[in-house]
Amino acid sequence: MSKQAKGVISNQLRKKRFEKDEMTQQELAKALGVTRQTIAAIEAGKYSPSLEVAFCLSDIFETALDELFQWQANNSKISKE
Amino acid sequence: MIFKDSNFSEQTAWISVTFTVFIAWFYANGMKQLEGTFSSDADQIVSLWAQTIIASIIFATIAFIALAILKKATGDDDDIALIDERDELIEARATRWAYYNLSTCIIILFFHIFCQGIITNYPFFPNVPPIDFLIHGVMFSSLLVEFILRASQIYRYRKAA
Repeated sequence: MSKQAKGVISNQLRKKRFEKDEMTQQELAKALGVTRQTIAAIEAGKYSPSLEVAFCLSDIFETALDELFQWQANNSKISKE
Repeated sequence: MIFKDSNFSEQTAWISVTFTVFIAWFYANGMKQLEGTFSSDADQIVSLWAQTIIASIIFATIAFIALAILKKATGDDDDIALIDERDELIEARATRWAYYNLSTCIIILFFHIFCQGIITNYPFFPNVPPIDFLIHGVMFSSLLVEFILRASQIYRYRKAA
């Protein structure tokens, strides 16, 4: 039985948005092809996007993925068989 | 307002919850009008089923069209044709939870019929023929599952994930 890694993903989306000419959530949502509510949920840390969306965000903000998203593990054991 | 800061998928879930309650009331009311609350007259039951299904289709169609028109009129129509990955995830989780409940309802229905067949003086719904119990049970189970599915979606949208 594998044990899923537990941790907290934080992001700099709001900061990056404001750095990019104060881009609105609606504009970013349109560029990504998601709803504005999804952007709001990501910014609030209540929803973690798929890798595809994360890479698209990284493209839009022309920044590395690990500058945009940070992972803080709750425990050191990531996976155990 | 309940629709504040919600997308089209959440708004349709609210409408579905509302019409599920309405349809359950409509069906229960129709059942009461059948002779002796429950009726073994197959034609009456089939007619009630048909009325219920037609009423739900008409109600849902009108409600969804009205919502789309309202959103178009207010210029908030960007998300009408948009279902993103979060919507899909929320629907998948809600569907899984709803189908657990559907399985439970079906097991209870068949368990009841089985018990009615083998236990003399079985105390629950002794005067209802098994086939009627099954027909009405399937309708109410479907409505309950639809309610759970949409309520669960709304809960997850409100929780944000």
